[in-house]
Amino acid sequence: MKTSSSSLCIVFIFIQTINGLYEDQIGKFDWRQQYIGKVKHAIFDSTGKKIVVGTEENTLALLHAGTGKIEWRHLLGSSAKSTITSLFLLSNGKVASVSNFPTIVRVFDVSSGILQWETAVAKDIQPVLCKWSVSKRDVISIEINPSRSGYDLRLTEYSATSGTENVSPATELPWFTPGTNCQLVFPHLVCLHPQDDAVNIVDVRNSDTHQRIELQYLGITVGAGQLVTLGVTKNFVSLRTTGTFSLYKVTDEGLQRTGAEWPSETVLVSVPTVKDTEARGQYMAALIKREKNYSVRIYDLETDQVLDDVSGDMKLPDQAGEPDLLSTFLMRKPNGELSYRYAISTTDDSFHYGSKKEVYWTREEALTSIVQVEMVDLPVSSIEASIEEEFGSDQPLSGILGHTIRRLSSQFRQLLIVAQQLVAGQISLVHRDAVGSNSKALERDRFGLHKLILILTRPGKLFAMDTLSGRIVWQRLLKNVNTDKVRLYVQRTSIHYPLEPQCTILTKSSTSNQAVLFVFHPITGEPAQFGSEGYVNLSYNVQQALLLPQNEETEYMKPLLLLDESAAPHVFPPTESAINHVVKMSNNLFMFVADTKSCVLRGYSLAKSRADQLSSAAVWQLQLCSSSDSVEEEIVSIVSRHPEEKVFSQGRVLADRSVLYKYLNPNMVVVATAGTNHPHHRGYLNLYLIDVVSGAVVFSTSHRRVQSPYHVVYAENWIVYSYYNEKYRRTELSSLELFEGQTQSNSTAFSSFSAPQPLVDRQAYIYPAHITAMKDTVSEQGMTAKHILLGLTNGWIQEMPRAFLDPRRPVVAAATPEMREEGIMPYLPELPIPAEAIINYNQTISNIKSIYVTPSSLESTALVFVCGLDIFFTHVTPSRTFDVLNDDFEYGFIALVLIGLTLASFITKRLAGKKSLRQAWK
Amino acid sequence: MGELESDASSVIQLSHSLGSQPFETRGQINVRSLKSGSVNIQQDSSYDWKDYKEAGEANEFYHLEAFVKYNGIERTFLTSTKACLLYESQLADIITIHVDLLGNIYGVSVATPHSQQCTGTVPEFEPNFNTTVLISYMEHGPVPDVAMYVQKVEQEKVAKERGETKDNRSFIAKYWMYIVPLVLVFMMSGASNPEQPSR
Repeated sequence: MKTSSSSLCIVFIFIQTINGLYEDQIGKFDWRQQYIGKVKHAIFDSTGKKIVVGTEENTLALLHAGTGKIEWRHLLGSSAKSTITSLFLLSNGKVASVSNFPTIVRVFDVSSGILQWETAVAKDIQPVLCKWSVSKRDVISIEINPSRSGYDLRLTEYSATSGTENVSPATELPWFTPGTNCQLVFPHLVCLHPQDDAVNIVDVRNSDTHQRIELQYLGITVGAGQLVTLGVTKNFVSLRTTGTFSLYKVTDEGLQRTGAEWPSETVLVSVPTVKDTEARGQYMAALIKREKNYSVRIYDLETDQVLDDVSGDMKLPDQAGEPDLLSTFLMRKPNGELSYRYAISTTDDSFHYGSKKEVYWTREEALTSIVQVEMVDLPVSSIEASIEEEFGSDQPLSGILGHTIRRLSSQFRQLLIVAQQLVAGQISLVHRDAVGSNSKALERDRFGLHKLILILTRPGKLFAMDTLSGRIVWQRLLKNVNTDKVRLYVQRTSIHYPLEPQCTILTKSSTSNQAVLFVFHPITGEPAQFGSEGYVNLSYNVQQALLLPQNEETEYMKPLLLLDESAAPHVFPPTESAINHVVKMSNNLFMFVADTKSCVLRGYSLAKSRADQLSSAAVWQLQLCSSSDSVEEEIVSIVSRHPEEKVFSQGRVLADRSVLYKYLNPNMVVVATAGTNHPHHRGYLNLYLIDVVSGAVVFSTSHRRVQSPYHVVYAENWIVYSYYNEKYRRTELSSLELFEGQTQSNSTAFSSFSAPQPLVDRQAYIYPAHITAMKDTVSEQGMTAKHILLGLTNGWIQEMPRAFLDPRRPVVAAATPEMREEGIMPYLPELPIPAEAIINYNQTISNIKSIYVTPSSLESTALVFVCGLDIFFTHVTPSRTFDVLNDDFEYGFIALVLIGLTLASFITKRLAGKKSLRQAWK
Repeated sequence: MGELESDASSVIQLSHSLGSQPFETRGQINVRSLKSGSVNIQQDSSYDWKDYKEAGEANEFYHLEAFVKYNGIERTFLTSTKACLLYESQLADIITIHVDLLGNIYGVSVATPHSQQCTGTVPEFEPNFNTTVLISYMEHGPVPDVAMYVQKVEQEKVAKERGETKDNRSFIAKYWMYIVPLVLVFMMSGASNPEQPSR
């Protein structure tokens, strides 16, 4: 009976928290975009209508050449190291891909994407060199391994139809030295050592055919210190020095030079796929850099000349980088003319397809390597802006007359705006827009659901996306920066009308170690009036940056505090009011710096800063991690609370009406260190709760025999973290909650220097899936319940109520009335994954990397942006939509009922009056 | 008592400074055994009562630098507190040595009893430290308590088989199926009753 009552209780709680989606809500406020990653290999199929691509995200995909849409897509292994090293189109309509770490050969059917066969190549030792190629019937691999007498070469052939392996006996390569760059042009292996002045060619089936050809003989003169690089396209090899570029056909006789004069500006060459089979190998395409743009040249190798009428210029989109991959297709038009199509991958990770005339489409694959996401508010609408102007403080006219004129003129302006919008069709008379309507202007809506997502990506490309449709509003490629470390800060939001919003990106210069700031307008993407075109070069290297939580008073800008290598603080923007603001706050300003490798954490105080010179002084230093040589330990994660998080309730009311106060230390951060190779428990995870103002360690805990991935979420007074338990082979979630106790030490202000010691409740749970990302939901005022969003390896995003991870769930007792009153469930070791809690329903998100949550102006609703190989946007309502009417609310019906009731009351009043009159006559 | 994997003895050299003054030697803590937590401290304040008072009034920091040597490893830690808090507590401070489960000292921190407020004036006192040395050990993380849960479920099963389950639901929860029809009947009869006197 007890179990049934407890399970009844659980069912009851479930019903409370279910956030499933109705069928008609699909796509209403969510969207998903699918990507493939930066393209590393691209091959046109024989019709030119499809492009087979292999990417850095270890994805093999077939793109439709006309639209750029993905026909099919496969993720080949999820290991972070594994990439597609080679991709070949086989003659029978199949595609062969080779991935490394672990080395696996897979053959797929091109049109259907069905796997034909795959074979894992087991390697005891990593070979010095491993190259792949295809012949008419086979997929071929050569490996060069060290042997007793030098190096030997092993040739393996895999049958393209069945994958049957055929290993040839190893042959010796006496001339081979490590560091040699080799290219396999089957059956020849062409090798060049960077210091050597000759090319070695050998037939891999017969090592006696070794030839050594002097570079001089190939027509290349190499100056001192110059490097010759060897490239390959199909059955051609190219040799490039700083000033020259030459192409050779590999034959049994050696290298045969083709295409008499190749300009030294040749960036890339490719052997085009040609529609008619007899012309195969006859043409060559080259991408040549011009002053501003590029041109594509088609060479006829038989006649050895440029086909000028076919060749043409190419103009890539403005914000594209340098091309680093070229694939071309040649076809004969009905009128007999040759025409080409190209597919180009650029350094900004985008992928372009076009013809002589124009670029037909571009895929923004940088969106698969997102570094940081900020969702910014849109500016107020023009009507609201005119109201703001009317009530703005600095008005020249005052008095009754002035106010009247101002009111009249502003209302006239508003009328004009409404009229304009009606003409432009921006005001739709139909209620509620569907997702995907691009016509909506970039204006703030009433509930703050319409925002702009600023996305910073690894190649340094910046995107702004509309939350309603997922449309890219603008994009910008950062120039001359090294984006290994890059952060984005929103310094001024669009609330401070008429001041423009402003964002700043902190990164490093590509040429020196010094920091560079890029300041821009988040809504338009235009660079702001700082430095040269928004780029501000700093003369120091930044080791830590802090965006102050409050804005200064004159320009409403949140100052950015930068700590350089010598721990001297700097302020950006360096205006007087910003510096004064920092100086005013300096007694309460602390910064900390952590070195993830050495695990040294150091805290600084800015207390002695003056307006003419900001200064910092070290106040604390800790050194986590083990110093033992055998154990490798480093910081894996540092998590602080969301800077704008508000805590609505200061404590938890217990069943006996007493209050358990939360330990709400605003200065606490969670530092997680992970060690490997420990002799007894191999991997371990240490978690430290550190007050970064005083340097005090509030709490620390350790888990043994655990492995990555580690994920930490910290909000209010609780921490949830996940790890993989090696001993039991399962993912576990641990939960910590900190309380001050039954009394609150200081309810008005929290001081880290006289902080109480918290009580720590803890509990661990088994999670029956593998987590790749974890994040808590945030609401504007903190009233809404907190949920935890878990990104799983199978592409699901689960929304888990925090109550499930409450460390106070009692183990022993069944549900008692006290617990029920407090809303605590009895302890269950395993957490459930109900299908209703999957917020992305059937929209699988591959390879989830991170989740970002921003509150909207509606207390109930938070905006969620998930990125991985795909990107996904949706709304979550952890406590359900308590502050808005349901989507299916019957406006007509309620109006009808109201009118009916009013009418009925009038009629009955009249009838009652008549009746009383009649009775009076009796 | 700590649950350490390896024990070690350690000597912690302390030096301190008020505000931006240079560091001066304060003394040393001898940790005979990290595991048992037996420590003693030898120290004397190199500063005068007045120095603390002035630093407190200027809202300066009191910095403490700890140079730790154990098992051949040398580490330097820095910790600070507000000088006024130390002054107000009449140099009663708490030095905590943080040790992780592998026996590494990863931090030394100084604090004052947390009830201090940094407001009042304190009569003149002898500048002698009244130090409490604590060793803070890392705790084992929680593990999912499957055994306890299984035991609980089994106990309930056994109790159910014996029929010993005590129904501890409230009166309404137990008999609602009888109460609801009764209430309904009463309501129905109550609704029809008022019409009778009008006749």
